[in-house]
Amino acid sequence: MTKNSKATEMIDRYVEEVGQNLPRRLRGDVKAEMRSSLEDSALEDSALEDSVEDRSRAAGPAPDEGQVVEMLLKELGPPEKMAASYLPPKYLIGPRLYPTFALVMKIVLVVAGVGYLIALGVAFSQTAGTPGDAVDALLGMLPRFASFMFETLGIVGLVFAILERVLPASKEPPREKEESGHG
Amino acid sequence: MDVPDNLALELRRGVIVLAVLSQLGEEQYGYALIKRLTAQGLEIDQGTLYPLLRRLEADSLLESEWRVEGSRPRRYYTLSPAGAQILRALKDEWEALGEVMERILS
Repeated sequence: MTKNSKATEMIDRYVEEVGQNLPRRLRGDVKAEMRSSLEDSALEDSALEDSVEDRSRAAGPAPDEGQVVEMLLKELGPPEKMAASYLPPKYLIGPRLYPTFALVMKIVLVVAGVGYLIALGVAFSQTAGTPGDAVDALLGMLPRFASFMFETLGIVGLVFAILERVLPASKEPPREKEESGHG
Repeated sequence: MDVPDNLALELRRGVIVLAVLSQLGEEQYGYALIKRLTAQGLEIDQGTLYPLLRRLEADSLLESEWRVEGSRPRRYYTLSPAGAQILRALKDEWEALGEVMERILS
């Protein structure tokens, strides 16, 4: 398809973008295959359009190869998505770790909440006990509490994200977990 | 009533592997395989097939080779010996499943 530079250019750009989203070991091969397949189907489809054009020339200008390629690429979807379908699904925290992650998060939230209330009570009891003091204590502790929460949740998330990448993949995680839970 | 797209898709997804393997007793390149399946009534788009071929090759069910034939280089896929075995097993599975489903649905 060297004759139509616009179509070739579009295919090149698409293939290039797919390649950028692939790991290096796959990149060259996938790009070459995708280019040759796209050219195959672009040629085929525009040949089809040509025959339609012959029959109904009066109906208006038939789509050129560029338009055919454009439709073809639209059908394939965004290049990032296309590239992703060549790779196993990516998770920050996958389905295997998620239940544990959610549990730990809940525990952290409850513990932190209780801790906050206790600290508040202590701070309040040390003051004269007017309503204004209570509000001051509450507001004074809020920024520290908020940043503590962000840090803690961030660290928990980070630890689980690392675990997700470090733990070896097991084929059937939910059942395994159940078994070890009962055993 | 039309079946919602995602349900129909899910139902077909499992069958596609069997369909693809069944066509690769002789070697094919991706686009030819799409046309072959489409001609027999199984619609499959490129975005589904090419990654699937890769995966099947990574699982050693297919072998592939680049060759220049006609105007451009193409990647030709064919069943590996392991793939041929799996195909036979899957066919049996499919037949058994067909019988069961017929019994259940009738």
